[in-house]
Amino acid sequence: MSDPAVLCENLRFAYVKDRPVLDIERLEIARGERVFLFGPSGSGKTTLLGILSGVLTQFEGKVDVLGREIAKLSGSERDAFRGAHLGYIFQLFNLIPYLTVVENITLPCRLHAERRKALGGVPLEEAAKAAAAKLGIRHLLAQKVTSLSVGQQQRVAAARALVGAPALIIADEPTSSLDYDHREKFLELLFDSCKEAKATILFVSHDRSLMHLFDRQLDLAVINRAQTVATAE
Amino acid sequence: MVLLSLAYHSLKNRKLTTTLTVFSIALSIALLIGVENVRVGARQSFEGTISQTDLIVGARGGSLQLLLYSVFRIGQATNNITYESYLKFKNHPAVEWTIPYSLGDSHRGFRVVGTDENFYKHLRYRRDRSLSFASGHEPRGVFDVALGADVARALNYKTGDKVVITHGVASAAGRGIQDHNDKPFTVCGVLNKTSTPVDRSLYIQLEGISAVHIDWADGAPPMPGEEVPAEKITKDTVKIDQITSFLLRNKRRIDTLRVQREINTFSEEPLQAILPGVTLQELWRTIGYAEDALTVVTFFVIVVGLLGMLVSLYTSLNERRREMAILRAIGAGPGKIISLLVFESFLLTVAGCVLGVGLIYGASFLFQPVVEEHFGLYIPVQAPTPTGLIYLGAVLAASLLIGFIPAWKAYRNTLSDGLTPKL
Amino acid sequence: MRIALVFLLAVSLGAQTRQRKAHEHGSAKVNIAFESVKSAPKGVIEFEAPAESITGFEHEAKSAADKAKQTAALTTLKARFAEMVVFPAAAACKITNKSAKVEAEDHGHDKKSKTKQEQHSEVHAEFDVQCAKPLTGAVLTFGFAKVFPKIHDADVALIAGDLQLSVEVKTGKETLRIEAK
Repeated sequence: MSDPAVLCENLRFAYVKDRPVLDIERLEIARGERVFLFGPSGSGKTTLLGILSGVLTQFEGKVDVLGREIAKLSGSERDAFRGAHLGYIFQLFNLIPYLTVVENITLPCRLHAERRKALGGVPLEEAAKAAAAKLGIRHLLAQKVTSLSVGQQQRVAAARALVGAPALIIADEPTSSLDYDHREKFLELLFDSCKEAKATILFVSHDRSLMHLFDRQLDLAVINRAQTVATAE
Repeated sequence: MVLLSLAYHSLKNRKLTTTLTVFSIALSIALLIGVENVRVGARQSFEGTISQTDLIVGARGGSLQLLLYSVFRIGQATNNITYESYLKFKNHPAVEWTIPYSLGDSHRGFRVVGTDENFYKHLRYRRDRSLSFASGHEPRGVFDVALGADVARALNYKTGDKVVITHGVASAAGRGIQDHNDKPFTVCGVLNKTSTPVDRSLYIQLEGISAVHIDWADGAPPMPGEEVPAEKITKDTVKIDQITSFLLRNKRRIDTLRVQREINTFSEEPLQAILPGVTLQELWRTIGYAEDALTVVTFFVIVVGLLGMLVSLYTSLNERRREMAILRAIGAGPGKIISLLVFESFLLTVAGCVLGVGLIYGASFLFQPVVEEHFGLYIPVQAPTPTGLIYLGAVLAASLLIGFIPAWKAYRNTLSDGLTPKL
Repeated sequence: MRIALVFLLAVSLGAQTRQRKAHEHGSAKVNIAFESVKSAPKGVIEFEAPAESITGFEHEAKSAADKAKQTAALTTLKARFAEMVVFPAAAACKITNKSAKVEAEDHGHDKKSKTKQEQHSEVHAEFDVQCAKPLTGAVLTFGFAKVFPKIHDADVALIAGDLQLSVEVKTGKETLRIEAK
């Protein structure tokens, strides 16, 4: 378990040839670390997340996530890896609209046997209840997600990201649609749950009012050399 | 199974389009199976118009013509056959029974058939059904007439009514060539409905046909005042000279070919004997083209139904881009995205098939009596025919294939969208 | 039935013209009759074809060469009939020839056409068939053209108890299934 949660070396990525969006010499995130990644719009935050979660693959350089070299995995291995070991929280619309809260929370475990194994024999429903209880949404389990407030939806998304104890949680501006009070509360709940699961958090936001709550703050504009080139142009 | 349940919930979530799609598939399936059932029913009805008859015998001519006037009462015989020849085969050692028909007269557009008691005793239709009387009895006297069910209903006749027979086949408007006014018949009975051409004729004895023509000479009616009064005519005073055709049943089926050859080479008179089953099939094969055309149309209806499904799934994809991104984020690969959409089209089609089959059987069950009553078409409510099952299987297979089109589109979307759909 | 009747009327004219002429070169007629197709069915088969399609000519065989040709053709017909009307092997049917002869067609009623070219003769043959197993649901296949390449068309009628079936064999791929449709 000495592998870092994330290790990028000489990472370069371009959607269009010769127009790099990302150019990172080195990025390392230790296991259990809570990292706040910020940067202006267009600084390549979403692209970096796409690479780390194994969806964007046409990059150069070395990217290890949880000790696995992403580039060496096949497409389906990457999908399975993401499903089993990563929790992903979007800014908005995190949930499958036609499933109930509990069905949304348990979906990753139902799709991936490995993630389910991580529950250690705890029945799915119990695990969902436990995660929901921690995030204060236990009473919502049977509801349709369309009837929830935005804040409640984000907590359901967090519960889904956390169930089955994935080692890395990636959150892409999960709080930007919440008002300030709810943001802190949401983060508190997220941190508590992660601490218990010993999960690493990579939290992306442009809202620096939250950055003091994290172990480490990364300015992508600084570590991404491509961006400086682009702005210089 | 997870994907199947996802597909199910996803469809359930889009209630309106799902319902409409399922319904349109169901209607096209119902039409497909319905047409197939009508086809089989029509064929069975058609081939069931005459059963347990080995040969139909008439004057030499077209075999279809003989079948048409003897069984369907369509068209006319160009020649009659002598009663003498008929008796020869009636009393032939290999022959079990014969049913003679004497045609040529009519009543208000319905044909009048002269026959004998064997008609009521031996005629079979739809494999083994025999004739029976709804009221009254078969003709016993020379001037008795029994009515087919449709005749009685259309003309509102009942036993005891008087019926005047027209010479020749007249239209319903009554422009008969010559009415046999002087010799009215009395309705002695009404047959039960058979849904075969039997329902559309009137039946008298062979002697009755002779009786109305007893005083005719060279095909012309008697001069006024020279008519032979009906009271003077009894079975013994009339002589039967000729009949039009007859049905024949052998004691053993294997003799059929021998008897047929004997009839066809009969030296005293040019006769011909046809195998009704074979001629019916020949006729059906000709009609079969219309049947094929109907099937082709039905297939296009199915195609339209499936295209409707394709359109509804395909257009839903844009609003589902976010959903696909979420699925990818929690680790569903392209394969699973494709399966999800293929499952959706499959589920829609299965639901459509089940509903469609349910619809058509419900409708068949409800409307069977009505259809039989009004169209004379008996459509059996039976398990789907092998062809029907093949159709269903083909539709399901087609739905799987069609499902790949939106699935492929969704797959392309997820590849270009990654985790951040462009909305 | 009224619908069917309308159909009938519409097609009966067309169908009438389709009827086969009595003597059409290349056209054979086969009639098969079984009293029943259950347990060890026993039946008869009649075969009829213009002599031209079997022996190659229709005039009276007077020369030694013609006679030899005719005999050879009839021998082939007798010996290889089981290849022309093929019962399923499972039924273990045995076909035996009863008779086979060439008959001049009687044209007495049409004296004008009785020129040499118009003289017709027909081959008639009869066979017995005895099967060991029931024929219910059995599928018959046909190979007329294999034995006599000049036969390109055959009307096969089959009586099996109360079932009367028929098939027109043209491509040779047609089959006849012994069961009610």
